[in-house]
Amino acid sequence: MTIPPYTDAASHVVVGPTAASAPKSAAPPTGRILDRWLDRVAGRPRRVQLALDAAMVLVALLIVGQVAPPELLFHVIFVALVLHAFLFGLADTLWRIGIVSVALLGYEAAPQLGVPFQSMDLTEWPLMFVIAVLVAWMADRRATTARLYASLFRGASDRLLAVQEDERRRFARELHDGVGQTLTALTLALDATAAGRGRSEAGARLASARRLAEDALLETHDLAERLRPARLEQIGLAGAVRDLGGRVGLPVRVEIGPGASETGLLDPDAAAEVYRIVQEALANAARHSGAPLARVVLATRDGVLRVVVDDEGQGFDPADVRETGLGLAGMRERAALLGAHLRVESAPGRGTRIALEVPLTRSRGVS
Amino acid sequence: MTPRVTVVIVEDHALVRDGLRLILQGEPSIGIVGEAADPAEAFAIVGRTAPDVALVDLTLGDADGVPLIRGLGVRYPGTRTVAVTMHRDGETVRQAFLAGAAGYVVKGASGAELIAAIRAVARGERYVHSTVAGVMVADSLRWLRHGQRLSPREREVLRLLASGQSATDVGRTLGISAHTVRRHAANLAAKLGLHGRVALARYAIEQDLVRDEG
Repeated sequence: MTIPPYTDAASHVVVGPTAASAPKSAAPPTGRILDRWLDRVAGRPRRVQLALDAAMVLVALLIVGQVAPPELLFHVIFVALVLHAFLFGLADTLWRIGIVSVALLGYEAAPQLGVPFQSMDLTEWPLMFVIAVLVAWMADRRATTARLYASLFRGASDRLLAVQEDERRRFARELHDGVGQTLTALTLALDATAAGRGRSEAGARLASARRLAEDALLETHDLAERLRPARLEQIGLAGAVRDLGGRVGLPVRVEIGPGASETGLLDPDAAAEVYRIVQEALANAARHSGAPLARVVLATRDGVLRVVVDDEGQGFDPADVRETGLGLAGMRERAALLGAHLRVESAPGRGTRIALEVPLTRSRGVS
Repeated sequence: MTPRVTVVIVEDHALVRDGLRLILQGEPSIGIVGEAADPAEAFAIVGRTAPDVALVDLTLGDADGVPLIRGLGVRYPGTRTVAVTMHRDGETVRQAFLAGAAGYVVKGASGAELIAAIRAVARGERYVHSTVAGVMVADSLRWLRHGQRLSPREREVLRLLASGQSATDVGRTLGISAHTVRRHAANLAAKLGLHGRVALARYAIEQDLVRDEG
């Protein structure tokens, strides 16, 4: 069994080089160092376990060789055992405890069998075993709690995402179907009325009223699309992003990699969120970068959708900027809700690059 | 005197249907023979009246208009369809035409444009409204500029190679030998002035040649 890192729930949310500065309170420095070390260990559990086992076997050989006082060496084994318990939990540790107890009993029995081992006091060992078992048990509980919180976090963020998307979908739809259709009918009616009146004053007024209605219709459509692209499910994320490229007020080069143009890569709500992150990134590029061109790349690989938005504009210092002003905070929130990884790379004069990695629906299972 | 063009309107919003009727009734050469608010009604009314032209909204409540256009085209090839919609994105335009639409008019277009569209498709022509002409041109230019020099087979090979398949895999998919695939790849590289398969894949992605033509 491997214990997940302390930061399991939060690891989805870690976003970019400035993320560390976000939770300012949290654990004291020592706690954080320990956490980081534990994370590193949890990243390579097999190797750590092998090292601990090797150390214990080595010490056992030293005991058999009678190189140093056996009390000391057995205590070294105990320390390794407790470390193992802390890192790997009950199931993995219990049989090691068993082996050590058998070894201890064997050591005690050795003189009767004619092996001249130094004698040793065993009275404190029951207590030591209890400690090792307790540590292992607590490590198990911690792991269970961490997993529980991680799944609670996922569940909550999925629900939040669904609620938000529901709301947006409803608004967009009401704009499209309500106001939009009424305005369409209005333009047609004004058109029909103006048709018979040619160049008269009434005709001219009707024509200008018609133009106003048409403008309102266009604005309504834009507003609704900004809330949520109406045919997102049919045209796919790639189609929506390509369309977005023509509407941000900055020339955008859209590159769609193989597989990324398929529809249904992500579930519709997730696709809408990714769309919005791209939208925000492009809006930032148009507003702040001063670059003549931005680029969007969509590509899929190993069950992950990778989205990159970059420009060669003036860039900014990610640690310096008031994040909300650039909409970075919003993008991070969205990425966190998606369980996605968002990285923002920028420096003054060096352009900006925003990379998002989203697990694809197929590999994510039921959501 | 041009013959009268018969039209069916498929639109889920009564107000918009009224507006369309208002416009078309003022045009003596066009006669409305039926109206429908959803795909089922549309199939029934087009089957019954066999109109020259069907105006189809692309969002019919919860139903999508693109499959309807395709279905009408298959079952009633004598009826030409014009998509009448609020959507102006390139992918929707592409899907509508691929599904068999003969014309595309956005909502907010003038009555005269709508009538021109109906007349054009009734004559067997195509009609693209000016607001979406831009995205259509951009879409086809990408293909014309970079795709035309390549034969369909070469384009297929390029697409499959770009998706990360090996020459053997591509050969198996297309039913040709790996050797032929490699020769195609070499021809492609020569035509495009590129070296190596990675450069080819990169080129295909940049020029947006990877997506399926269907």
